Amino acid sequence: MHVRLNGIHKYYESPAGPCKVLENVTLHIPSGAFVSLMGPSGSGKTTLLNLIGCLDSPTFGQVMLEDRDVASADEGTRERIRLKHIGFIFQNYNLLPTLTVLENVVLPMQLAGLRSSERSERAGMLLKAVGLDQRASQRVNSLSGGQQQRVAIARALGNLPQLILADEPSGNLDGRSTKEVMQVLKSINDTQKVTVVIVTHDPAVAAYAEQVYYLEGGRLASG
Amino acid sequence: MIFLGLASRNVVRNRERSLLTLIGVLLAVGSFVALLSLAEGLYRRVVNELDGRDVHVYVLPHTAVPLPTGPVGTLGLSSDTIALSWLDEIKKMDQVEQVGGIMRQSWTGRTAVMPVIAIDPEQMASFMPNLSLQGSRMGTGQVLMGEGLATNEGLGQGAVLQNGQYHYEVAGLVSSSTGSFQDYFVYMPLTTAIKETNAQGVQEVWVKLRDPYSAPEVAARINELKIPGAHALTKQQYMGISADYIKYVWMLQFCIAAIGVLIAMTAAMNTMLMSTYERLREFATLRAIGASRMLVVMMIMGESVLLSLAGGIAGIFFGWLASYLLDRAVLVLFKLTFPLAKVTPVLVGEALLLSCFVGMVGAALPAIIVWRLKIVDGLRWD
Repeated sequence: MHVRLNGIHKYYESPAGPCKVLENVTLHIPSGAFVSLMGPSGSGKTTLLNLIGCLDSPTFGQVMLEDRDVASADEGTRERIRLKHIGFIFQNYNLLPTLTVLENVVLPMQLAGLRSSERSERAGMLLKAVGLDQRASQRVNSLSGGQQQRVAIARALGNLPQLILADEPSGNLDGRSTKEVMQVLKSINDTQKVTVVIVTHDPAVAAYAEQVYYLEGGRLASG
Repeated sequence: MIFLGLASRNVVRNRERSLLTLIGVLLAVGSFVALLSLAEGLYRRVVNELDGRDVHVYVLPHTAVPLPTGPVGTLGLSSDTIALSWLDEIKKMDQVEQVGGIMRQSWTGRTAVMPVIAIDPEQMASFMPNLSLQGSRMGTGQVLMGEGLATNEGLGQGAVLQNGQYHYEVAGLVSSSTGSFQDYFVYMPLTTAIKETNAQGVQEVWVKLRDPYSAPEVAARINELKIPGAHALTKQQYMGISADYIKYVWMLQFCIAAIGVLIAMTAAMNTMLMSTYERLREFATLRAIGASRMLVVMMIMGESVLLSLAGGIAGIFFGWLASYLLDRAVLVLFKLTFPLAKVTPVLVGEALLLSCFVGMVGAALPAIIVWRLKIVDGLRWD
């Protein structure tokens, strides 16, 4: 899936008046690319990722996913796009603690209405790919941070998305776990040609990307 | 039904909090069932008694409340009487098959007050065909007893009942198949009652018609007779006024039970609010991975309703037990001879609906919060 941002502006309302977060961001991410967004805290990286992921809407500008402007789409359409075309990975993993590893991975497939047999087969394959097939019946709370993040990756891939958005995926991981997680993401990008966009502070993580973009004060500094 | 699966997992997530909410709903639904079982039992027994009678028109003094002999024997009974001569006038009317006078008394029994109906023994089977008799028909100096009353009083056929200076032999026992008040009365001959009380007439007149559908017309014709201080009511009118009277009892009990229900609603809402604020990030995550707003709201609703329904089911059992105790207390306090409370399927259904309602109200505010939640705000929630 290719992503094109045209003249994106994002302001938040605050008691002191509108607070500028992104200003005139224009960016093109080709299909199958592995891109990293870097920048200091408050530079607008996560906001930009949220706009690409249909989690938020820009104040002005277009967010084009496969030539479709999702910024102006209704909430139902954006829900469907998130469900079927985008996989999210969060810094805090954001797994559901009441569910097992397998149930967490299966959840997006259930939401998409996949048949039970198909769900089990696909979840089994995904858990094997992230090396957690032996932990399928465990509660996610019993896993290490690296393992939980790998479960989150498996969940993000559940509906075979064309775009993976990862917000500081290694933010809570040690060096070894970071390497494992990034290798999984790189492998997915290489083998399945899934577009991957990562927000990170860590240059070592950014190094996995083919292209690194820097944001500063809500503007794209370089690419 | 994904939302139900997720909801049920969340119910057991914080067991202590869920248990406390469940207890709150249990107490509210329990008190609802226990209190309303009195009004419900009263209504069912009144309806059963009226349905069991083959009486289509009632003539009674204006001052009397149309309540069928219960719930406390002579409640609603007027001391005004209708002269016996009017019975002959009514009997002459077209469609009238049988006319009978009725007197009511209350005697002091060993355990409680015994309601008494005085009726012509020849007419008893005709007016109350639902009663089955064990023993012989009553004659002079004899009475019949309802089976329930006889059991409570420890009396049987051949026993002697005393009321003041008078003694009566129990000639037989009667029982109804419908569970009405009729099982808890003493039945005595009308002539004996008139003679012993020196009455100038009867307190009620029961009219049986050849064609029950002609009741409104016959009642109108009786009213045209202008019987002093009395009026005629069809069975439907009589039943309607009785039901209205019982409705006030129901409303009074409902108001008392509503206090508990309101407290339970507040408890459920508090639980759901705390639980929702703790999980805003989870809800945002669900939305981020593609769950619709409706699904997340249904999950919260489902969670709250499941919890309340569990409390409601437990509350029905608790209410059933409490209803028994309350019934015993009412019987002792008011010296009644018959059990009043009844936990009917209708009441159980109402209690289950109430439980669901408590759950839905409890989840309303959390549902609004989640509906309005911005995903990006939820993901940042700590």
